Amino acid sequence: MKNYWILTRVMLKNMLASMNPLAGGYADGKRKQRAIFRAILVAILCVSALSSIVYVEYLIFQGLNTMRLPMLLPGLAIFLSLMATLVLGLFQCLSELFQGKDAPFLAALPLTSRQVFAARLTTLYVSELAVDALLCLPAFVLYAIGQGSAWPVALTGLPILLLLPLIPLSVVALLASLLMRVSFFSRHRESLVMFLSVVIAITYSIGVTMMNSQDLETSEIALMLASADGLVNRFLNMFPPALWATRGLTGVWSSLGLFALVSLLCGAVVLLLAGPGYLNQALSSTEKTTRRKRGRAAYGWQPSSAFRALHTLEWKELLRTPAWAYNSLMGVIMFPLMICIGFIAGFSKAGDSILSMRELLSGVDQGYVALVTCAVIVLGAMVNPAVSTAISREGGRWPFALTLPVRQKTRFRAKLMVGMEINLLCMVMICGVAWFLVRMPVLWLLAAFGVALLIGLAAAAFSLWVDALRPQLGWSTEMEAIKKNFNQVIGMLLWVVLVALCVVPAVLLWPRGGSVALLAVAGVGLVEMGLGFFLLSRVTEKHTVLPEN
Amino acid sequence: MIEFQGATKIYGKSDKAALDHLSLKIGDGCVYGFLGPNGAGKTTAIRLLTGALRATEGKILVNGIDVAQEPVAAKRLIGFVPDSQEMYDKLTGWEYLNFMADIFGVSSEDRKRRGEKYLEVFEMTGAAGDRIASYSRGMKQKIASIGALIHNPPVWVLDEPMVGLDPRASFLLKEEMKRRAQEGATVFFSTHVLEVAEKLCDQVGIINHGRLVMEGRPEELTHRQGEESLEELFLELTETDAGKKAEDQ
Repeated sequence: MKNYWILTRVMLKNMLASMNPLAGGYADGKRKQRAIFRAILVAILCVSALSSIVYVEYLIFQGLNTMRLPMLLPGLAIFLSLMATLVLGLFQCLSELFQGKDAPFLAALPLTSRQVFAARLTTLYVSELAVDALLCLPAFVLYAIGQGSAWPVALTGLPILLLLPLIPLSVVALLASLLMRVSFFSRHRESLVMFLSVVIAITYSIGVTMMNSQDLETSEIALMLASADGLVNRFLNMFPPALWATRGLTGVWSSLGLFALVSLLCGAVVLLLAGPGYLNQALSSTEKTTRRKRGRAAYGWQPSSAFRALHTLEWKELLRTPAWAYNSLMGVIMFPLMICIGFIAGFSKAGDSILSMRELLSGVDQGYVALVTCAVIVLGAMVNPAVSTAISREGGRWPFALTLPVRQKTRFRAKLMVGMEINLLCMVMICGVAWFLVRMPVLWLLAAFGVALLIGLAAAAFSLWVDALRPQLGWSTEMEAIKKNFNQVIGMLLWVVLVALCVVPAVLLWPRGGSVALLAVAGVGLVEMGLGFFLLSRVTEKHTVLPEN
Repeated sequence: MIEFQGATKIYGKSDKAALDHLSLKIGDGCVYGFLGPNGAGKTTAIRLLTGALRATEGKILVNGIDVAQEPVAAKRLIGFVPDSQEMYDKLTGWEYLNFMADIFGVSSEDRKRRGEKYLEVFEMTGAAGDRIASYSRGMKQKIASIGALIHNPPVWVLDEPMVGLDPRASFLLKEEMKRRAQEGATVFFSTHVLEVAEKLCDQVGIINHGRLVMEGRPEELTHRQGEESLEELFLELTETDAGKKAEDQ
């Protein structure tokens, strides 16, 4: 037990230090000032993210309160937290548990496999807890204020929050362990694991969608609407732990007890089942299969330009490293796929909903519809870290990469190009889905796509600039490199600026001025793109050597 | 030819120079061993030479080209074998060689001829189709060496090249270093293995606390200082320095 605590403490310290912008010693005042400035910027970003969540949850809460369904807000937050971990946690578990470079080192320490597994799982638990808290705490507080009962909600909310990640994390950790076992003898282990994990994520989504879309009899609907509990039960029954936790929060002690018991049981079961073989599995994932050819093999030696070589290298690295592949390409597949799943799963009312949505939107200024489409395209395309971690992904290879006789401009262009190709792929997919759902005129759709491309390029240039200025090269797992980067929020920040500068005044002044707003957004997007590329060109000229901090 | 002209490197606002006015001139056809204890400044010197770091003061020339002024032109003349095991390990050995050849602009015929020749010399032909991630440390070192030779560089720089190599691989690498020097190339390498330096090098330089403390032919140096071997000389130089430092304190 003592060894577990020591290892957990080190791992947590390592994780938190890498996220702390003020960590590390500063030899001179200027560098310290920069670090403080960075910390302030990160704090502003965190506060604005939290305020946005609080604001959105407040709006939802007001709506639910008038419907006399206040407990549905914490229920929704709990449900979303649990489902997010279930669907996305599998990729994180695979990366963090089984793709760490430190497995051989940990295996050599006098620790049991279960201790190492428990320590790793604890760090995962802490990071999941932070995300869950971000989503659930505002909901719990709003609910407590609405109920006028702060202490009882705090008393039940705290244990619920602390236990919240346990069930989904245990499920995905077990699944990850199972996937590693299943793929053990495969020559193409990484590809197989990637494929199977995507299949599992899609299966989850189909399952949830199917449960959600079950047709109800009229009597059932009447019964459901007769009481607030009916709707909550109907919705949260898709994942019973969400229902137990929500009921627990409202003061049903038996539900709280059940939730706590199942959560702790899940934790114990995963430790018992996956713990003992964990180190062997983690070690085996560091072993690579070979297929040595006997004698002289015939290899192709076709030349290409330095830019193309770097571009191909980036793609190969992205596609052949599971953590990069999950995080960079999942967005491209998942978003349009979720829409398709809705239909495959048999939404009987889907056709009607889409028709009524099209009817509703036909009365709205098409400029604003294009603007909303543009926002969805930008946000959908910008969530992947392909550009924002382009330099950090190099890790320990960066010193060697800098010795290659390539202009920094060429190197950055290749990295930006690969990131933008992924973004473009995502943008096209979202455009396709948007056209299918909204059936907006092609010219408006093209306009939305064009403006989204401008903003996408600006966001990519800014995030690459930040990564080039402060690359996070010291990581032991690929996920660490992604987590250390906050650059992805840059795309969202640019949107906030655009909305504040163009959209809000346009909506207030001209309700039918969507095209003006779209033009204004395009103009400001163009300026942002110019600024982004200007900054990037400056950094490519200056930062041609290793950072000295 | 490699020339360090008073090269100094101070990291950030540190008051201590990692490399202190290093001046060296290494001619063509010379195998030069760069020796020094841990933290002496060997890797800093190599990073300055290969353009991964910029000197705070002084100049570094490769065949007369200033690394700071014309980094790309200077880097084209260098074949560099890093000591780190961090490589593009998602590529196969052959893909890595092709990548390096593309970066250095090697023609199709030359890359095929050199690639196949060196794969055979380093006994890597059968493994070139596998991903680098599956290689042992020694094999990674070999593929990095082949990658550094694919463009037939006039200057070959190796950072701790013997680490992780088995005796046979080590022998093959040493032979290649000698052969390259005989063909007129400059071979510059850092090492802790004094025996290797003694037997292989035409010239050695001993660095400590960022300063070059002695330079010359290995046998001349030991003779000059009245020591029996390079190892004894090395220990003597670094010990004296440590003693001096202790005295200063």
